[in-house]
Amino acid sequence: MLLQVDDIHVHYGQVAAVKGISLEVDEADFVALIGSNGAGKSTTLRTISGLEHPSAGSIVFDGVAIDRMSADRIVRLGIAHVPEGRRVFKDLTVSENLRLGAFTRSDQQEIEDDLEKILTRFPRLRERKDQMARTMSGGEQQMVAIGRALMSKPRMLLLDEPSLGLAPLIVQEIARILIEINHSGVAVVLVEQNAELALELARHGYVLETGNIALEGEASGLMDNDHVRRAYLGI
Amino acid sequence: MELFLQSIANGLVQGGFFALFAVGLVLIFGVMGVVNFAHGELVMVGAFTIWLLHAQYGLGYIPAIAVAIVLVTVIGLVMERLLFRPTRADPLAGLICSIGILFILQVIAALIGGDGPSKQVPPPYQGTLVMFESLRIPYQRVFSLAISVAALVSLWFFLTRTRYGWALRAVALDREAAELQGINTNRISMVAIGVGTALAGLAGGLIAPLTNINPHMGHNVIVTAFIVTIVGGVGSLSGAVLAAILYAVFHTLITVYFGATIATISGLVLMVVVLIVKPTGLMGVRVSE
Amino acid sequence: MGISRRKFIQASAAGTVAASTGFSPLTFASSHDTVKIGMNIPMTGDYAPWGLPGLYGCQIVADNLNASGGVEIGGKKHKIEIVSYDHGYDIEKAVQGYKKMVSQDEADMVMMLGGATVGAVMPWGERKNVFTTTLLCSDITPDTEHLVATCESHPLYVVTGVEWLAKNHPDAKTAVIVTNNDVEYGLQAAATFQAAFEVAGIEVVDMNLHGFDVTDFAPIVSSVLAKNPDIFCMATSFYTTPLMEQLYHQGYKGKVISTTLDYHEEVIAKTSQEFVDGTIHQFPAFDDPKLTEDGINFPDPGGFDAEFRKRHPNDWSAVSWEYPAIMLNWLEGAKAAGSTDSDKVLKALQSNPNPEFVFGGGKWWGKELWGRDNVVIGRWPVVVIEGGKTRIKEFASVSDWLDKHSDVLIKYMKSHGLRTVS
Repeated sequence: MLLQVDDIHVHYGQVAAVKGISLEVDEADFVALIGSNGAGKSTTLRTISGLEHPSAGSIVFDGVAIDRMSADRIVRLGIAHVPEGRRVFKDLTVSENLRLGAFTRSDQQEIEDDLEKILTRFPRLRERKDQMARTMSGGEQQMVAIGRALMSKPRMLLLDEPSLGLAPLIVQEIARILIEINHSGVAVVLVEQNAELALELARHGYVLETGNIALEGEASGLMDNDHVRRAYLGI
Repeated sequence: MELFLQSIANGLVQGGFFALFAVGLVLIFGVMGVVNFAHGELVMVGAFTIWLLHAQYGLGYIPAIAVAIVLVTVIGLVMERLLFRPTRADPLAGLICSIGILFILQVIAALIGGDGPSKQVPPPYQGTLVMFESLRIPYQRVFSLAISVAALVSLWFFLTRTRYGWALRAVALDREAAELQGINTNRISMVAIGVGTALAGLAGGLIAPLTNINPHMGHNVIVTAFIVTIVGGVGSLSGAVLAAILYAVFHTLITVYFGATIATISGLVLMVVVLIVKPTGLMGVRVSE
Repeated sequence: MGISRRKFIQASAAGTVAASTGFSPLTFASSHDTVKIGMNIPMTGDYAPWGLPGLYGCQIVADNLNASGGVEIGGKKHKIEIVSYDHGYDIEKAVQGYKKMVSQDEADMVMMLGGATVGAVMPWGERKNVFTTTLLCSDITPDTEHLVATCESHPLYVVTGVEWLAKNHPDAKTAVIVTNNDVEYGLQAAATFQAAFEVAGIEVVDMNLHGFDVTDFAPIVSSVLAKNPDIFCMATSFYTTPLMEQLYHQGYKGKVISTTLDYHEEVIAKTSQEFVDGTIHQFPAFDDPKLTEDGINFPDPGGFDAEFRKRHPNDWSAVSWEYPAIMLNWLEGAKAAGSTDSDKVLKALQSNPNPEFVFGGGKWWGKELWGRDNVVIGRWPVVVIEGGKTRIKEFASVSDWLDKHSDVLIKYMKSHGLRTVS
């Protein structure tokens, strides 16, 4: 077991956003969290990566308790988080953004090699590596954000709504890239409102409703579930 | 024409000095979200250090500047650690703390410097550079300009060519996203306030032989810094440098041709016009994106 | 809670001060009565150079008088005690200090620098009949019966410097004036210099009135030097050092005249002695041999100068001897009246048509401009810096000039919107 989240509760002030969520992610697993707005998906991801801390429950990554750790230390353990809205550094160039992804690393030569790999994987970024990130389209910024996360050499990648606001063609490209990443041995945890896309890509799925897990299971099984079909797939 | 050239030269010297402390203010504001009202007093502490160590105790000018930079930087780091970091969640708290520091530094300077008139530091570099027969710049000002430019170039190099420079800009742009890259934002805050206050200490060291030194000299510094920061676009370093130079040359020319009072009023009017016409400043960007 | 805490601190501070001075057994053991001289002056801040050195000076003169047994008033020897308050040129603090001095410390008279701080205390001072002094004669109004300027009459004395300059350097025909643009100091001096230059036949080719926010004087100096003046006139006492420094660096070769050049050693350190030599101003050093001549009403100027420099080597300024001179004026009045009562002292002083003036030749004046003859004008020294030292060239009569040309002065004061009664 790579990641074990056990009955976590998370509060924003007095408001409970997550009320007892447990989930498990295996080495090189692909897990989807689906649910409507406010179900606690983003909060769950933010808590795993250390931006929030649970008021109860525990999170263990590769045998290390991380629920009290600061975000910058969690990155060093091998968790990379592509946050909602991409959050690229808009006044930095594409290549500066990517290099910042490797901030925790000191192996200069390997960093250069990895940068080269990422620019090969995202040819559009190579053309624009000296441009300010703000000049890029939404899809390209998403690629920067994913590339930046990969530069930390993660063992697990958390993605928060990567398809949001992107054209269908770009969404497909992102989906293809996520599969490639997963196949290279990186575990992926994907939060999506686009439940169809998420369940197509993932092996396991969790359905979140008002801070709790309503359903969980094989992604293909969830896809056939009546409740899921009605509430999230619109069928 | 001679007068015009002389004024441009005078304006550039001032511009270099303005840029040093405006950039520090922008760095601290950008990375930490704190409007450091005590920034002018940090310049004052730098100038006072030169007066005390160089003019009173005969330490060399350059070593005295080094001490001024270290002292002011230490004050900055202590401010960050003891005041700004614990109050990070409340944007007003940092500002109020900095106003408290402002008064404390003024009182300490008055206690050390004693009562009486403004202090003067004899210029370590005597003589005047004469160019084209009539363009005259005292060597002290040439020195001041050269060091300002060198410091700004080093800062630019640090920010655009080093890992910590990128990290610092990243924290200024998006603190949380920076944390997700494994950047320890508290450490970067220390770097930012360290660099910002070191520049203030340097600015104090450079201005010391050129002006009246007294405990409340920081007031004029902070007013200028605010104008420059707003005109340049809050949060934009290159905007601050550009605005510092433009404002200094503008202010100098208005002073020469229309008088100092008009110049001060024009500076403030310029700020208001920028706020109305281009609220994001010369180089600023929209926050809403 | 906050307020009571502050009161607690104030009370304990006042208690400590009282314990260490007012109620000390020595005071009670003394067989003398005391006169209390109040000094409500700036001792910190921008204006400190025109406050603190005066306190030092008064202390020396008081020590000398006390050592010789005190001053006899009304048949009794009195020791002199100085009570001082630092208002830092803050108007509220000035009022607070003034009231404390009169009500609590029971000061017999209060000396002040002048300007807004004096304007703020006088309404209360008039109700309580407090003998108050100022260095700025423009503070006098028809309502200020108890306010006198018996020593420095800023800035009337500058007419003597201009007169001397015109007489001794007849080739200097054009001048520029630079000063701070405040109503109390700068504009008064600018108007007086303009009047003096007009009378002397010197044309003012440029005038630069700047605020107190100037940090760099380079542009101001280049702008006025572009007019190629023969005379550079500093109608300021705040910015003489940076202005001189800029003149030096910008290669100015003409004459310099200033209201004062206190701390000229400092200016020399920033420029050169050769450059500063020849500068004309109006405030002598007190070791000047000319101050031993007849007609000078100041006890042992040389000894005073030496003692001052021994006690406070770097603090000599124009006011070092001015507040002592005012204190001596008041003591003369008290002796003549046989009383320390404000009205009696005032009456004794003003009934003398030739009051003792520090440089002699004194007479009461002021009604023409400010509605009351509460200013003593007389002879005033013109000094020139020679070999790095301030030396008196001559004494000239301010009153003679005013008798002939006060209309010119009034014209320029009106042109700056300054208050006059005529």
